[in-house]
Amino acid sequence: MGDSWYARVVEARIGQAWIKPIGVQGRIEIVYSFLVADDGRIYGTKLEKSSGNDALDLTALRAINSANPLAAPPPELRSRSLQFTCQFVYPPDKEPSIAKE
Amino acid sequence: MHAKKLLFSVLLLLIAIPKRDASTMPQIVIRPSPGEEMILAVADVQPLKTDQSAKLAPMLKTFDEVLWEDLKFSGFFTLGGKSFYPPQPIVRAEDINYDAWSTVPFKISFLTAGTMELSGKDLIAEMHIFDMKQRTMSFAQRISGDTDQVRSIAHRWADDIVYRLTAGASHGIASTRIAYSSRRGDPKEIYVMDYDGNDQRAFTRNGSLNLFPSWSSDNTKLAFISYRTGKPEINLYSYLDGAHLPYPMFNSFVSKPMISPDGQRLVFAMRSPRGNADIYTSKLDGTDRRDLTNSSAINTDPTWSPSGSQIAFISERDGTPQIYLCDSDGANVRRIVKEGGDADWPAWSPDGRWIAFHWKPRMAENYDIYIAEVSTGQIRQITSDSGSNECPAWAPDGRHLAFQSNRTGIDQIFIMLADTNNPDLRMVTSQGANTCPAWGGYARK
Repeated sequence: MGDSWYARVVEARIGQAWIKPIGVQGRIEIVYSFLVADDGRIYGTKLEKSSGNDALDLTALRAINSANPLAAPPPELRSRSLQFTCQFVYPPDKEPSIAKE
Repeated sequence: MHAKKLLFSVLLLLIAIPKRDASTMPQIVIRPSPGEEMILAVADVQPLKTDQSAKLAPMLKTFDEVLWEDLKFSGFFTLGGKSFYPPQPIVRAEDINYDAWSTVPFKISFLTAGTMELSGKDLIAEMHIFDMKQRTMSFAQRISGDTDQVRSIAHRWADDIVYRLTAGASHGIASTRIAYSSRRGDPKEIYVMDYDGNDQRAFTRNGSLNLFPSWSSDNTKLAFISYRTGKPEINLYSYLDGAHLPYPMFNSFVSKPMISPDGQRLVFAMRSPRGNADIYTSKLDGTDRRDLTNSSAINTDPTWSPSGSQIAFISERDGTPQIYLCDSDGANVRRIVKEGGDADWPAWSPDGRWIAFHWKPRMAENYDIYIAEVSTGQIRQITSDSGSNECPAWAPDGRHLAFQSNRTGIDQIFIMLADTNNPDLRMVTSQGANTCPAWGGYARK
C-alpha cells in the first residue's frame, strides 16, 4: 500500500482545494484525520492538531469537505476502514510530500 | 433492571460505532499543498496482434489523437510531449523501461499505455495506467465497442483516467454531449454533438425554428422552443427514443424552458395577461402552472440552481436587464450583480457557486462571458476582445463552459476551460450558424 497512487491523487485533490492562508506569520501546521469508505465517501473527520487559529483550521476542513466524495479507493485498499492523516503545512516544507503506511 | 438496560445500550453502541483501531486500519499520511502539477505521458496504443497492424492503423491513430485532446482539454494535467518518450512500444507491462522513462526532461507522474485488437466486429482496447513513481500498474480497463466507436472508446478511457487521477474531482467530460440550435439553410433545427464537435446529428427535422434547448439532469429529455405550428411552443422530447412528450400550448409567447434537477417541474418565461413576460413553473405535463415573478417588469431567461431550490432569471425591473434570484416558489427575490450594463442568459454552475452570464457595459457593442460568485456577487471576466460572446452553458464538471461567439463572422459554438489563466479555447462547430449551446450531464456508466 505505502506510497500508493491513490494516496497521491487524494493529496493532490485536497491540496488544490486548500486556499492558502494570507498574511500568516511563521509556520503553521494543521492535522486532520478522516476515514474513507469503499465508495469514496469521507467520514469521521477529526481535528488532530490545531494551528491555534480556528479560522485557519477551517480552511483545511473546507478543503477536505470539498473533496467529498473521493473516487472509490482501489480494490487493495477496500474492505477495511481506510484512514488518512492529513497534514496541512504552510509554508510547505522543502522536502517532497510523504505518503506512507 | 435499569442498569441492565443501560449496559445493553452501551453494548449496542460499542457494536454500532466503527472503532478506529490504528493497528488494523490502513493509515496514510498525506501533505496537501497547493499548486502541484500532475504530468501524464500518453504512449501510443499498440496493436495486440501484429497481423492486425495494417487494419488497425487508422483506428489506433484516431484513438491516440482523441485521448490526447480529451486529457489536455480536461485541464487537470500537463501532458509530456511524445517526442521525448523512449522509442520502445508498450504492449505488455514489462515493455516499460522505467530507467529510460526516468531520463525524460519532465517528471512523469503517470503513464497511459495499452493495446487494441479486432475480434469479429468488435474493437477491444486494453488500457492501463502506470505509476511512474512506484513503477507499478495502478489500474486498467478493458473497453470494447463496434469498429466505428473508436472515438467513444477513447473518450471512456479519458474519463476513467480523469475520475481516478483527480480522486473523483470530475467524472470526465469526454463522453458528454452538447445540444444547440443550428441554422443550415432557412430552418433552425436542434442538433446534438459530442462535446468536441464530432458526430453532429439533427434531433429535430421539422423545417421550422427550434431554439433554446436544455437537458434534463439525467440526459433523458430535451426541452426547447419550436415554431413548427407557427407559434412558439414548449416542446419536450425523450432523448432516448425521440418520443414527443405531451405539453400544452398556452397560446402566448413562451421562451427558455428548463426541466428542474429532480425532473418534476419545468421553468419557462411566458407573456403574462398584463403583457409583460413572467417566470412560470409547471409540472412536466403542463399542469399546476404558477407565476413566480408576477410583476409588471419583463422577466425572462430562467435557470434552476443545481439543488432546484432557487431560480436565477433576468429582469428589467431596475431599468436594464439584470440577474435576479428567487426561491423556487418565487419568494425572496434579490439582485446579485450590481455592475449595471446589460446582463443576460444566466447559467448556474453544477456546484452552485457561480452563475455564468453574458454581459456588456453600457454603450459597449459586444457581450462577453462573465461568471458571478453567487454568495458575493463578485464578477470575473472569462472572454474578451473577440466578437460578441453569448449564451454560456456549464459542463457537468463545473470547470468548462460552452458559448456562442461571432468572432469568425458567424455564430459558432466554442468550448473552453473557465479559467482566465489557462483558456484552452476550441471552436467545435463550423457548418452553418450555431447558437444556444446546452451541455448535457455526465454520461451514464
